[in-house]
Amino acid sequence: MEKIIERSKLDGLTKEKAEKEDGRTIIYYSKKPRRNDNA
Amino acid sequence: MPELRWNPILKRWNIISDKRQDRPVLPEDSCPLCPEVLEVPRDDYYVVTFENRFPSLERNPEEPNIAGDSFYRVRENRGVCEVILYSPEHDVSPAELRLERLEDLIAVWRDRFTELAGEDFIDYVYIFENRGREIGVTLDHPHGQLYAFPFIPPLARRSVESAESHYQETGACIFCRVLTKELNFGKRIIWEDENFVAFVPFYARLPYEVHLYPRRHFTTIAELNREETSSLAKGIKTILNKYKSLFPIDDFPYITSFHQAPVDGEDHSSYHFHLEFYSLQRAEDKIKYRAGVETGTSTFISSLSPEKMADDLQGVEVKAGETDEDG
Repeated sequence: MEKIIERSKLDGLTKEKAEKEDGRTIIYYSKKPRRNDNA
Repeated sequence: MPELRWNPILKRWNIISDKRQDRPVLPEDSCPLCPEVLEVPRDDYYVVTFENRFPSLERNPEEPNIAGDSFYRVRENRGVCEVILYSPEHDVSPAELRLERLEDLIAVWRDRFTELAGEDFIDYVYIFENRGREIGVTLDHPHGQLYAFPFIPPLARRSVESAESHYQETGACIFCRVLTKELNFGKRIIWEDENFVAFVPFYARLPYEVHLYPRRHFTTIAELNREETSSLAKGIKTILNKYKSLFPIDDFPYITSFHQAPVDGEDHSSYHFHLEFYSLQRAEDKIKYRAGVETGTSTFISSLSPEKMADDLQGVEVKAGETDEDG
């Protein structure tokens, strides 16, 4: 399981920084999906 | 044996990284970059970045496996290599990303640049994308990469020094001078708006090489304003869609390369942020190889004139919708 270590906002995006099981960092940048937002 | 080894003749660092030998190459059964396969357990993201499983540069490197001396210098390969996925979807190409998603991607590039630029062991942050098997990609999923170097790479150092010496001699920016020359000539411009200009440079060395310059002088992606971010997204999308339609082939191979001021703590205000795009596809069925002259002398021979390449790219109509919000 990844462990979330930081949550913040960036230019309308939600940024979630997590630590992988092997210690590497992974960062998710996401946004609430819009209709027809398929690409 | 991960380490940096110094070439005392050419005065440049080479990276020795045998871990790269273990990378999967175009696996047929499943894509390790797709959600819930290997690297990314979630699919609810727009963009995701993570440290490369097979890094050339490592945040916490092992000791070099060989001892150096004052002539054959050796350093640990300390740095950061990140993978940046542009979408959870495997089959979408970067050219197909909506403008809003490209602007989000630019925000992520800026965020990663800013964070890594603040690390005291990083001197240069390089953002790039390899696309297409001819370029050497090992995974097809839409993605780019970032290398945060503990030194300024040779080509970047040379252009930084050129910018600085030109500024000392003339008080002006050498990149602004190139941009003015290209705008005055006009025939190599392939796209422009109020903030950015895309052109095949007078001195293009690779097939369908395009440079994308901001009109305003600034040094790094961190200084982009909102309007410039929107223009940069349009410029990238226009260039990639022209590439996509240039020849009737499935996946036009290209490299996107960011050129920015170093982050080594010195004053590099004479540098001018820009992007460069290169291909190896010199015709529908012809690839440009880096062979004896290019590899042995670093002199490039182009069988296409820059004017011909610009004319070809100008002739590609980017369809309505491919550069607007509904694309």
